Amino acid sequence: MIELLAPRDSEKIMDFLDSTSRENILAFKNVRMLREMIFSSQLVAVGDVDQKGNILRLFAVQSPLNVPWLLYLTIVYMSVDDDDEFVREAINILKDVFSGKYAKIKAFINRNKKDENNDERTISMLERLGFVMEADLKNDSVHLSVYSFFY
Amino acid sequence: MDAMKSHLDIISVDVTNRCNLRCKHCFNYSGEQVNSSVEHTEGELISIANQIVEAGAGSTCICGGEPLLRKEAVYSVIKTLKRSGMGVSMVSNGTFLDQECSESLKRSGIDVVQISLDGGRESHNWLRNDEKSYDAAVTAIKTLVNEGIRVSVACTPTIRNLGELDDVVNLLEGLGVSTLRMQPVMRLGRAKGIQEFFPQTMQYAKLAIELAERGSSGKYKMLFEWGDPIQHLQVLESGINIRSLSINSYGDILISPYVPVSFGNVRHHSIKEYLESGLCEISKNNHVQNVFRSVDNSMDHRVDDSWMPELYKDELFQLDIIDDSISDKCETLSRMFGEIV
Repeated sequence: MIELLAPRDSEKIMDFLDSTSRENILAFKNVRMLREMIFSSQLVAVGDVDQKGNILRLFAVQSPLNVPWLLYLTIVYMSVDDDDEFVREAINILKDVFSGKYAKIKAFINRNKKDENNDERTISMLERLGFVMEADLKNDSVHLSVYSFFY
Repeated sequence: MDAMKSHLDIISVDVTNRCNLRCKHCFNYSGEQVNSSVEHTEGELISIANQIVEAGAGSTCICGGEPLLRKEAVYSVIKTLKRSGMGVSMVSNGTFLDQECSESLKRSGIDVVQISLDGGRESHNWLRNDEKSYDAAVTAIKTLVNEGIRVSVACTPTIRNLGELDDVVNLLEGLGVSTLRMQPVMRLGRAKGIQEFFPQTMQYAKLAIELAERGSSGKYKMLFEWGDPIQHLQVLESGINIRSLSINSYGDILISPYVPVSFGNVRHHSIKEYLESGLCEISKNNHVQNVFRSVDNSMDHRVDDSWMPELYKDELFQLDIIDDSISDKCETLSRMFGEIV
């Protein structure tokens, strides 16, 4: 079942992140910090949860509640292995949570030459979902692509 | 009296478990199962206040029941605590807070009074089980503000009052309230009887966002707080020392008002003696950690807690870290609580 995750799900989110081969891009040091962020809605996470409450898929954004001049949500976790329908549903849930207060969701993709294939899959998925490129910043050491979804 | 150096941020003291109201969400059954013969005398309460000063706590919150059912004792306790320069607050439903009481609180030196206001008139009176409680609470806020006492308001979100936030905020801002604190209701005590009125995850998330946005909007003098009532337990789960204590109206020392386990009693030993015997370090005990994990608020339906001793209704799990064999008691505690974690 796809649902908005609650503070109580923090441990299961950590378990999920530990179980994935991907780097923990949420970068949470401990479950308490994660819980506090979810409690305060600074982090909003949508999960596909099985009957035992285990998280099978995760989509999470950071909200700019403590940074009032920011007007967008930032994706902090999305798996390219997920189907588009899960992400679409997650975005719909986010629209409901934030009552349309934010006009867009941004994805910052730090392009990694070592894993170009994964980056291309991510970008391909974003484009299928309706994200458009806003910026592509490149120099000798950094290549950052910024994609936005307007809703 | 020399204060020892402790690291306690706050000690809450229940001056009574009696209450004039029977709020539907009361976590500790205030007003029920009262044995007034064993409640602290005024002299004992002053002694506890002196113990708190001796223990070097940062601040004290006077709680209940309804504390102002014991006005004279409350004034004495505040004066005793304030002589040390400690911060003192009190929570009240406002029913007994008239002009005279407000003046007495001011003279006693209280820093802040927290009044409960749970939405508009109808929603509040429904939750408080009393048709006059809304007007009493609003009158109390006005009286306190006029007296120059800082007023904080606690509001418990229910599905009945979620749509009334605008009205509540405008009212409180107009009255000069300093802080509006909202927090999920604790799924304990009488609150278990109204679980269908608890907001759902989505509603809580929206409320947190709404409060944060109001707080950062610059439109209000009032501060907005979205509080996690079990944050102190979450912190303790990471194994750091206890930073707050609760003393109930019978002298039991609890590490949280929501955990039905006492670790001593101020009638047996002083707070200082308990601290020197390692009370603050009890949070590192693995068995005690299991207890923390068994307590949830209404956002956290993790466990079936129907077996758990009901605060103030059933007997607490009594443990005295000075008089008892801690390892034996903790193992019993762990067996009891460990089954569900």
